[in-house]
Amino acid sequence: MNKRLLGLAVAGSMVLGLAVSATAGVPDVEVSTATGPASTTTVLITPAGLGDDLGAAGATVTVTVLDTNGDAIAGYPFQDVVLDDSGDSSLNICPGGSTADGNTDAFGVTTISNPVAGGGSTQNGLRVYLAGDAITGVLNPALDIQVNSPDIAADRVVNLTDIGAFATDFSGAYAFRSDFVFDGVINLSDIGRFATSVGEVCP
Amino acid sequence: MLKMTTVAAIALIIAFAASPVAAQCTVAVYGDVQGTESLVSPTVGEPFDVYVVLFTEGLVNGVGYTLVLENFDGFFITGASYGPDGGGLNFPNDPNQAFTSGASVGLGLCAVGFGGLPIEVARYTLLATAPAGERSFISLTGNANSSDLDPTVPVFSDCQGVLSSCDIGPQLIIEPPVSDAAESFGAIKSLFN
Repeated sequence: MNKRLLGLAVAGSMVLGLAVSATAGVPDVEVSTATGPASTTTVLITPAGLGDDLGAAGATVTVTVLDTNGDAIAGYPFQDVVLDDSGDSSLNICPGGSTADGNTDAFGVTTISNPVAGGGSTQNGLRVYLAGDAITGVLNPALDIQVNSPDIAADRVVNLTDIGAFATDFSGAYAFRSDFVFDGVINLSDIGRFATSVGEVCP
Repeated sequence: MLKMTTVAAIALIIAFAASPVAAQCTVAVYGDVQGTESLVSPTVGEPFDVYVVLFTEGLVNGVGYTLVLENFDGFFITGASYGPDGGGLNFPNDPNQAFTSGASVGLGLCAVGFGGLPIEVARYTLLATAPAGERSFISLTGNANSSDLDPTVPVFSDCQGVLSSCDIGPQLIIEPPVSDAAESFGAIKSLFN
């Protein structure tokens, strides 16, 4: 009887061990965290990545990659840590255009602080994605970063479509998407910034 | 001496970069892209270019202004390009009067004004269709649609989005256009004088 119990215990612990080892080192988007600016910050992105530097704009995102057990995952590849819209498809990020600055360190931490390459605009905040899955959960609301781009049409190129859209906004009601030098008004400074990006494409 | 020059240059660069004072700027229409000719003498039927040229010490990526045309009945603006390399854009106040309703020009690049070198803002190609007996004039004024600054003077945007007012330079004088035939006659006549 005791032998049977012992056998069951050993088998159970092996199963448990396997389960734990199966999740160890695998990022858990409910446990991992992404933090950004304390207040709403606006950044400009362009297809060629010639917009605002997130760090300089005060919009650096710090990402901590943890597994289900809450253990840090060191060396998690930067290519798999990506900043994007909150899921509303408002942005169109170029391939590799918003990855982390480097692999995670011993504490599972990395940052995203470089200019983002892409187009579109959003005032719904951004999220960090780990291998395609958004970091979510009550501790991870959408990052308080709003984005716009001369690539108004969000097709990764600044072309005649965007010129038409910008011209409409310049002569019409205020539209955040065209307020590239964010000051609540669309004027010559936005024209200057827009014209500089015409022709840009993803790297 | 060299060190002093270097130190002075560095101090100038620092002062230039950190100065909160609005940049000085002058903009006007000229007969050449260098911004030296304020008098042009066109021939009927031969297109000629005039230039909106801006002088400043600093960075520029946008300029707002309005062309003021006087005694311009015999002329047509047949084309325009914007920016130093022609890659800029103009968002006129009224697309149906693209040249005269007020221009908000994005240069298409971040141009550097330095050492008095001119920045080409726009190039307009004009055509005189008939001889005239009087001079014509092109000058500049402001464009209220470009910014909230003084609407009576042109403005420019530095590459950080800061807007500043510009002084207005001399007006461009266009001599009464002459026809080729009249020129030929004048040339022949001069041979007998």
